[in-house]
Amino acid sequence: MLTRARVAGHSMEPALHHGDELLVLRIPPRLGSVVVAQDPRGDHWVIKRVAEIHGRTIRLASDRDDHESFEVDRSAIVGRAILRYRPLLRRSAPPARTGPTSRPIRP
Amino acid sequence: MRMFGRPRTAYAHCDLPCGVYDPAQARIEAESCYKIIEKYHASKDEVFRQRAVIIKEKRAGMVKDHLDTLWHDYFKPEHLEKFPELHDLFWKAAKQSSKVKESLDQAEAAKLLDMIDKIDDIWRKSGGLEKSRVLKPEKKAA
Repeated sequence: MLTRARVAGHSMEPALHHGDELLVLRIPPRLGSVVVAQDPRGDHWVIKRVAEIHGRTIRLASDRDDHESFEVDRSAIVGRAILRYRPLLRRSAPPARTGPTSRPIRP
Repeated sequence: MRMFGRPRTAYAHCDLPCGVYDPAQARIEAESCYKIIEKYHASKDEVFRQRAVIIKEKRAGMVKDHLDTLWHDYFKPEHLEKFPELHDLFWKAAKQSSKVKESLDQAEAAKLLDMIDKIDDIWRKSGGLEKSRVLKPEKKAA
């Protein structure tokens, strides 16, 4: 039910930074939550935020606006990131954001 | 369940991996750092020098980003088996990028260029040029 993931890249800043480590719980995606998913274009995981849910189709987006969003089937979702344990605290807190798709992950 | 050992990598840096990877991207930015440091020392204009520092720090950060993408997206475990020095090389090059970011010593920038060249050498030996660049027609024929 529980797994761990390490973030590689910068598209989820400011909520998540390169090198952050997370606990991922195998629970269904929720709008606005950060999820780990199997990338349909390759044999690796991606970490994104759930932007839209249409039945079994989930649209995943980055927090940074310069990245495109894409859709995956619900079966590709590995789980929801529930805790950033490394670092547990970050000095500069993510700025306040608005909208259901842009909530920072709860540390 | 993966609760022990290293956590699995979840990629956040490229929503659409284009498959184009080349250490030349990092080298251009590192060359920029090298030349900016030279210009910094040649100038007595304080405003120019401040701008040079700001731009140099930005470019050094770009070197690190390009190397990071190359390491995570292009190189695969089979490359590491064939070129075991890769991990150490990338680790040192990332550290050196940070050093160039904070330093105004041109020798540090030269060291970074040398490390990128070593990575480039492995990238070429692994067939990177053919696999991950869109070559001009005459280069394909050559």
